[in-house]
Amino acid sequence: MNPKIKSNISWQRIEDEVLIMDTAYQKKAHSLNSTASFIWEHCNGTNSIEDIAKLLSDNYETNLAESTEDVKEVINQLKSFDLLESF
Amino acid sequence: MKAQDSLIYQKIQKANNVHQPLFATLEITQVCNLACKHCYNFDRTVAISTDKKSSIMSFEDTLYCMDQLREVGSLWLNLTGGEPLTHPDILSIIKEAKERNFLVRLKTNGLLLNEKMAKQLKEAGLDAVEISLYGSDEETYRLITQREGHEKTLGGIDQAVKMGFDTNASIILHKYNTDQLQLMIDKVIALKAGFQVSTEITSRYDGTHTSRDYELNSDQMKSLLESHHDLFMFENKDHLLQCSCAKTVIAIGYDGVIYPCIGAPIKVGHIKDSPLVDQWKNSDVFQKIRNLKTEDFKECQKCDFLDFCSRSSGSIYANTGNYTGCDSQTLEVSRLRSQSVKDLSKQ
Repeated sequence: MNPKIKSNISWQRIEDEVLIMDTAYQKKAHSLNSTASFIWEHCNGTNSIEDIAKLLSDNYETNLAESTEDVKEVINQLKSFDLLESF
Repeated sequence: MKAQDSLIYQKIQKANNVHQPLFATLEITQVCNLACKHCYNFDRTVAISTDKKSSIMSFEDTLYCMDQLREVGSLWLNLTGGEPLTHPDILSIIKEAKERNFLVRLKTNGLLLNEKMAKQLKEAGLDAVEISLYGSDEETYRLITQREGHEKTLGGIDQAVKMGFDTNASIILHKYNTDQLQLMIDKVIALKAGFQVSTEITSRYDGTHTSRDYELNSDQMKSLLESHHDLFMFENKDHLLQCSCAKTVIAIGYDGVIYPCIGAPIKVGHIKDSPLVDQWKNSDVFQKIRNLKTEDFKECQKCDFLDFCSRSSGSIYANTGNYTGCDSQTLEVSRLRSQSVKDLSKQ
């Protein structure tokens, strides 16, 4: 399974950041920086971690291996906050 | 301020700086199961055409509006009416709103919020509920709403709390119930809900003004300042004059008309005229509001009570037609606050 934002999570992009309002699970607000926001917006259940890393690498013109590490780290954090479906 | 509140506040400030309407109100119906004398929609106390009474936004149009609101940057979506729970597609509308990642809040009178409905709303994904409370007993409730419903309203608050919604009672003060404020607060607290208190009663969208017959008079406001000082005292140390209309707030009426706020009946355009993103950015009304400067509020510049003013441009516009002006209620409340501080300092 690919990373996917849990249903019932409310969020919106504000400039280069994403504000997440989790009223359903941990009842917390989260703010994501620019890179994490990019990753978050591509967690649609269709993109794999590799797909997101490639998109990130292309968008920010960074090394693919580095991007892959970034994506894994961000996704692990998002999972720890209960914001992504189990996969 | 708690860390979480601080985080959200920072993001709202950021949205305010770039003019992003994080807070949207979608008025999905004019239909209501009450006939409140102070209602701002239209005068529900007189015979009115069936068309008006039965006007609802179609399910397809709500989807269109929600797509547009999402695109323009909204996060909080208030569903209001009329009474939104009378909309035949309310559960589907909430489900669709959640699909679009809104934080969905329902503004309701709570009469239809029984156990079954509360469960269905939870399953649909509703986040928060705001329930209007008009009195502490059936008789007072009926005086303003023209129907019985006080006990059902409390039942609705109870169900909402039990279902885990972020629940707030909106205690509406009018000329029949000011002496019942503490009783209403006590009942809401006993139900473990939050509350807010409003004394704002304005003229209506249909241009009639009899709603204001139910406003608090000066003596009632003075008594409230004495009995509930912390709730009604407000100090405007920074002399702020503008609210969030057209900056972080937007509203769409049941007929698709766009407003700067649901409390500011200034027609901006129609949702189908052109993409909302374009109207939000370019409309003359929005631009004019955003570009207002302190000196444009001429009456405020010479007001002796600005230190205590909590003016709402939308309400003042509804009452006077002048967005940057003042109205009798705003002025009187500010004056009473000022007097109250003077009186306290003498003691």
